[in-house]
Amino acid sequence: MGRYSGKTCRLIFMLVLTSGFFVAELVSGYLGNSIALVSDSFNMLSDLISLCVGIATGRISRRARRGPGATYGYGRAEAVGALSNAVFLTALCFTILVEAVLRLARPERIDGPELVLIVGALGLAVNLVGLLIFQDWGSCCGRRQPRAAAPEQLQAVPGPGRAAAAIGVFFSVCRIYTQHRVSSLNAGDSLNTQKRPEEQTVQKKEKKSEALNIRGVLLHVMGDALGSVIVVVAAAIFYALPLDANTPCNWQCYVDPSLTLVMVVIILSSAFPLIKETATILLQMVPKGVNMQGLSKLTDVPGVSSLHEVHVWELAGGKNIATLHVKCQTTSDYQDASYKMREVFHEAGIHSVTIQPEYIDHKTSELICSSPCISKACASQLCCPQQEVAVTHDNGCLEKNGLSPTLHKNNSINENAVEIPIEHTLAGAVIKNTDNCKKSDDKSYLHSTHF
Amino acid sequence: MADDGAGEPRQPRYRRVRLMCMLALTFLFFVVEVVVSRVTASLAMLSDSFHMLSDVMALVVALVAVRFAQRTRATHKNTFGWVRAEVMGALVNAVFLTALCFTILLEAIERFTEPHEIQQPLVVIGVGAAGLLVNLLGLCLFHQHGGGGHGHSHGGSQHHRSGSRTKLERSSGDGDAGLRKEETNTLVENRSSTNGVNQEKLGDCKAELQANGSIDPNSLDIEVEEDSSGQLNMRGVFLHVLGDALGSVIVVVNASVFYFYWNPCPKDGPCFNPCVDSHCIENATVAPPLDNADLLSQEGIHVAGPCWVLYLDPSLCLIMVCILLYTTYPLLKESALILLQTVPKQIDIYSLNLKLRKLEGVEAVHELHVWQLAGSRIIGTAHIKCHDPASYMKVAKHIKEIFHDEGIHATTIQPEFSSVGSESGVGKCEFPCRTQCALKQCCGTAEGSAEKKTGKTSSIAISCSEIIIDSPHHKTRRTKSENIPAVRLEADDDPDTQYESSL
Repeated sequence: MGRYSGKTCRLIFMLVLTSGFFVAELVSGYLGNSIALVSDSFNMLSDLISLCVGIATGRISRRARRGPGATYGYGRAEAVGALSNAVFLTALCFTILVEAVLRLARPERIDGPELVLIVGALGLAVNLVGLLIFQDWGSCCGRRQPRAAAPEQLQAVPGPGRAAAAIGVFFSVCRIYTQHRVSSLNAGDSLNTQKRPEEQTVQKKEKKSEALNIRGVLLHVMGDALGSVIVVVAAAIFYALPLDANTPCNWQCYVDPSLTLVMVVIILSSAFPLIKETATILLQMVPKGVNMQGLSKLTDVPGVSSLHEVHVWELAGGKNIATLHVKCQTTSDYQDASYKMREVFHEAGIHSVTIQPEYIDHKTSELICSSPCISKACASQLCCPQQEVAVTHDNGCLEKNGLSPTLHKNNSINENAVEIPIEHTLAGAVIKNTDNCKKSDDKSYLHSTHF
Repeated sequence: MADDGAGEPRQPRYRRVRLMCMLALTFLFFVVEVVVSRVTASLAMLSDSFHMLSDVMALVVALVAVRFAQRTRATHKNTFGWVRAEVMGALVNAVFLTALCFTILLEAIERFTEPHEIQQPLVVIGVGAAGLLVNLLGLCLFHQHGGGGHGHSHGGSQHHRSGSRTKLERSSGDGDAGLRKEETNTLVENRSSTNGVNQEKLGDCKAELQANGSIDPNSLDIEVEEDSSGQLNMRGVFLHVLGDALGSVIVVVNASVFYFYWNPCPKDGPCFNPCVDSHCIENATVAPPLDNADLLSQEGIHVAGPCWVLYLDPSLCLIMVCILLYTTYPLLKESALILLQTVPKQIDIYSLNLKLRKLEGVEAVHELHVWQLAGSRIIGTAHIKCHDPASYMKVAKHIKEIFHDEGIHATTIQPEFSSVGSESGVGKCEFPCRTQCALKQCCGTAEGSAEKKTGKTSSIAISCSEIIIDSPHHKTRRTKSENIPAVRLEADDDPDTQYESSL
């Protein structure tokens, strides 16, 4: 579990820096009796919370041990952490928005702009440092070479980061130190996959997904930086054009709230893509890089009569998983087809595939799963409903339309439709087997797995 | 057959209706509060109205989740349908609530350092009471089927136990926290209360698993299972409304205490406010030394009322935050665990694996995964190694039965045959992807030559089956093959048969 990567180093460094500054701001706010400072320090506190969440989920997801609690490990923890951070930030933006609206209704002036200016500038500096530290994840991750070779590591300090050369050097030292302990995951990558461009694309995707965690934290830091910018600007205006206590608030008092509104818009517009991306993973959606239509090549594999219950989803970090049921005529058909199907999946970027063979029983339709659970009563607990709106026929038989995603194969055995419907609407039109009543289905359940 | 022949299932519709009612009500009240605050120029009222707005947002999130989750069918974008949306909605609501608690905490701390007086306490009492009413209505709304449902579910479960039905009762959590248990009880929606006895019921506090293989086609009910995940969603909403109700209670209590006990500074005349020392208050025109309050009142200078009254508000807020966090944490944890694809609590993977391996004809089991999609939809996959296709056929049904008994009804079983396999050992997956894909597979890799059985868990090759098959006394060993000939019941960790980590 002691696997450190540059990521954790940075997070911990940022944590230390932020907590130090939080304490300093709090203390000086109380000593100087400035509410603005105290409330700005609480912004730092929310930053701290997001950093803690980021570190904690990073460690959880890197936990190698897969116990009886989680058969897939905890790789998804980063996605959950990123979602939590994004939602947390959205909620904070909401409260900031409320306060800004209140301020617009009742403008107030800033007292003691000098102190506010100084501390605001310091806060801005801290946030900029944070942004620089994390910025290679904030920007497009694909630009950098995957960290395959040590020499590349040394040059990996991003361009603008040269301005903060000291920090850059610190982190490259950090990275070299961790390079020795970095997971052989990366080393394995370098050995085998240097030559394969497709593999490198996958690596980049992995990096991008791993970075979800950091992106969540980065959002917070960015929000904080923008807040500090606004504080500095507003305080500077009050410093340059001081307002007496007696004169009513003029346009100067409206600068702060209006800039805050702009900031909220900016933050929200960057939080939503992160939420969408984590939702893609957490809702078991088809990963972006995978083309479901491309998988229609599966039906071209000889020996495959039809496919159903095709599921493709991303576990985390670019690891795609697929399961499907395939109907074949014979066992040897299945074994030949299985290898070729895996090739197709491999081309599509899906490397963990579980294929369940079913053998064609002429009593059942080709599209219906021969072996769902053992009893009808479980139908509601299947992952995907096998039947649609109950289409009852006159004799009480229920037509079962294979609604799980189904791919049809055009061959002589299958006299059903030719197209490749994934959605249920087409599948309904395809089935013509009105004799597939439940009675025969029951029998087929008993015999379907027998050959 | 499902008598719910109508296209739209009832439960989500009820939920939607209730959510929309509450949404409309809350939004209306928010508008009222804003107007009143403008009329009375009360800042506190305005900020309280924004609490209502946050409630509205939570309701919107829950509504969106319910709408999404009704689409259970597979689409291009999501092969599982959108059932999981409700779990995610619950997580979002829980995090949102935590963030709100955080901001309330900050405000309370600020109030401790700088106490505020309440302006126009009567108006605040009035509007606070109205808000409380709205919130109580909301609580009732989301409680509504719970009480009856709870009773029904227990009675019903007795009935069903004697019936010939298969049902799964999914617990909505540990059931440890007493408060939570109460809340989840109240959120059980039970169709049997509406549809009679031929129902499948879910969502009680204890997890009960009853496997009964007889098939009763008449009792099939398609849309009931969603209760458990919908329950999570409703719980999120309920907690928001509860938080708001507590807030209203605090507002009312605080305002009335303030009204009765506080001696405000009169509008004119000198006044000294000992509670706030360093800032100028409008009426504090005199700043005498602090220990002369009595002297002052004798001299006719008014002293503002007892200071503890001002600290009541933040302290009550702190208590409320604690209560809310305590009740939100279980919801957060539960939805996070589902989203992390952990094994559902009621399933013991070790024993499942053991049962599978005990079957005659099964040589090895690997890549066993069990996870919960949403509600009671649990999905399992496994690779079963048999000797040849004929022997696989014999055990296929039993395998499905074993899964069914555990409540896992959507399974994908991949058979592998050692007779056609190459020189690979019994424990190795016959169908991994190419070797270089090892790193991109879901569960680590087994580099053919690189990863021989070592005693420790290396970072690359972490096979899923390894950890699962590890018996407790062999925690650190990399599991080897489950070399099980047909009759042997237990896999011996034979040092000689150290196969690679299975894929």
